[in-house]
Amino acid sequence: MDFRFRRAIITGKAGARIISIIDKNRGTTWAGRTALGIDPDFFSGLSGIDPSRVLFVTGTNGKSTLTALISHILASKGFNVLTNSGGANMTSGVASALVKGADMSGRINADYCIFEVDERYLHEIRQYVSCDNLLVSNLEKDQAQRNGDPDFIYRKIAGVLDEFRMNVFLNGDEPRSCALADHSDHTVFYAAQRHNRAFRKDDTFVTLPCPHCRSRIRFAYHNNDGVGRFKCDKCGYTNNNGRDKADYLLKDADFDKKTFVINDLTFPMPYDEPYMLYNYAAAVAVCKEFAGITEEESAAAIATFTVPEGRIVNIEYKGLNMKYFMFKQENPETLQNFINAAAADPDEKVIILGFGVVDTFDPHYINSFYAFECDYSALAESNLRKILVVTDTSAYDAANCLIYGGIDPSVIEVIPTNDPEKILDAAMGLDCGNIYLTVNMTTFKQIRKFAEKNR
Amino acid sequence: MNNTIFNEIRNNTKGHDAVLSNVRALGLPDSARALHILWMYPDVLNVFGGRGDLMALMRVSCSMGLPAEMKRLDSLSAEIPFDWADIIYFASGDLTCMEDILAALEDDRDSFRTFAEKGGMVAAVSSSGAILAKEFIKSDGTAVKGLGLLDMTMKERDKVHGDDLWFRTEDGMEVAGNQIQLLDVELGAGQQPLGSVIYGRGNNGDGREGARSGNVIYTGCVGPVMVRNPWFAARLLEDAAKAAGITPAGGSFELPDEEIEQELISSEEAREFIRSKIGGTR
Repeated sequence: MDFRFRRAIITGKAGARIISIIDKNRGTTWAGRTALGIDPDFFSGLSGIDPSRVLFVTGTNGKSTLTALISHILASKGFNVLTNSGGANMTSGVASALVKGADMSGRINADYCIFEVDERYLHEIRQYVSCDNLLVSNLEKDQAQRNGDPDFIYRKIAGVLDEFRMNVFLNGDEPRSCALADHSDHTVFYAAQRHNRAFRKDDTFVTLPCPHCRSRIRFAYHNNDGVGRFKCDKCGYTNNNGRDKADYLLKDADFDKKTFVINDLTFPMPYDEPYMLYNYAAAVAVCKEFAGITEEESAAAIATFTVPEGRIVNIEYKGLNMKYFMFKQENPETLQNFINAAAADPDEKVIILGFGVVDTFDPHYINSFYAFECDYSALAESNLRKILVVTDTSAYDAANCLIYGGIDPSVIEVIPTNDPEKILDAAMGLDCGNIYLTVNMTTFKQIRKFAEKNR
Repeated sequence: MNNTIFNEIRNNTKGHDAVLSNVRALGLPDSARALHILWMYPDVLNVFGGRGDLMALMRVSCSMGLPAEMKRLDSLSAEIPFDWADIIYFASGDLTCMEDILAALEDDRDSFRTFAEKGGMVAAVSSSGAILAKEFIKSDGTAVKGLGLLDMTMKERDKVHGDDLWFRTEDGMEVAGNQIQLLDVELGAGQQPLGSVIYGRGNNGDGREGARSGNVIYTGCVGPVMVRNPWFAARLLEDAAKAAGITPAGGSFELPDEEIEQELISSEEAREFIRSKIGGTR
């Protein structure tokens, strides 16, 4: 065995072990970065990886949850699953998982490898790690500062599929990623039937250009924002890339009973937000096709699933119980999901909303254009006590956006600060026990830290 | 505060391919001559909050007392109603759509030129500037001929540039927003810019932002630019109304300060953030 490779494995594993003793939530990329630093050919030294048992999970939204859910179902069946948790989805994150999963000779002994992969790193990672299977959750507007327009990511993934001819699992109800079927010889579509929290958007809203002919895509309804029954005005491009039906169709979603049906089997719905339906359908499809896990086995595993830390979080502060929903800046869909979730709650509620600075990459900047693509109508008509718009850079901008969206200005209170104490005290002062929080990640971390310290 | 007017207009005109109108909201008879805004290919040119700009044009026109109607042109093969339109608005879109749009507009080159020569307003934002340019050059070196309404060439960048943008128009109006730039812009020797950059990259880092020839306007500023800078929207609406011969009852179409309190504070909030970046405190 190559000395450098051996040193990379030993150093990486030892470092990862030490870091996990100190804090198990840290160091998700350290081992990989270190191994690649010692041996740039680290990946080629690994053995025991069966590409037919490797799945990459990519897309705009849902990567971490899907990776966790699929891994959970496989593990529940007793399989040894190697995965990259904690959102470490670039090359060093995947390398870290492989360092941890390898024995001292570099052999991977996992039954299955499930790796979350950042869309932009898909090509690089696929060059290093042989993989026959790709799951794309959706391709939507995201990280404009890095990606420019969303078609950029479509072209990247299409290029990978053209080069490596992978089997793909695609969301048949999401127009952009669904067209990736043109770049694969084997596609499995998953989709969801219209449910009772589906919605429509009128003609003042925009959809997207048809991936085939650049004409207008119209939606008959949205199960999630940008995901639903669609058709191109010109070429007729429609769900499941024109195939009659999805291979795995989620039906009869019942948000009261918290159940849904796939292939005539009733499943539990531990998380009852509409966007989760597509995650369930994708996971059932993948586990059946990829690992032969029956619907019954998936259903049993789904019942005990918990979403990864940080997506939906309850925060307690001096008797207040706040429900935090993660939203991604520059991504209208996650903001719309939050709006819909809050609007669906019939009880009186306070909402804390903060767009904040986009600080993922340099230079940091302020941007709220994505918020103008959301429909606030249902929220405007729901039982609102107050909406507190916060952050020191975009509180007024957010207020303006809400007013444009039809929210009564009298229910909006502008708190132009990032100070968690001021924000939480303002919420406390409203004497309402039902609080929804969605703010940019930096502000959320500050609020959570303060709340935990002053509980 | 009149920002809710967009939603009211929207609620009044629900339905497929509806025309949005503020005529009734202004208490005017249906026969009143309204400024006609044509929203080009909204689902194709769908990025960076273009919808917000159209919302702002409707809301600001209402605050100015200017009757306005807006309709969508959805299909690339649909005939452009040049006789109806006073403003033809291209919001920003995927770069890959520009060739298809220009191919669709190939037979309309002369009509666009005539429309612009008569004072009709043609505005494009961000990557859609490629439609108005002489040409845009793709990363593979292929040149695509634009409508040539502005003497500018755009060239695909290797990397996206995203940052705040703050500029001053040639007539002294300050505009602040963001820039998501996939195309560098080179102005021809005689081409006037829209403004000069206070902070940000602008066309290509040369201190100039956008381009303007008469009522043909290109800006790289998004935000949405018309929402965050209603005074800029008002100026465009006023210029377009003048060219269309729409005259105000009271002598001028003005945007009262009390109508834009929210935006004035919001704009100052944004500028303060930019100042902190310039000053190195962020």
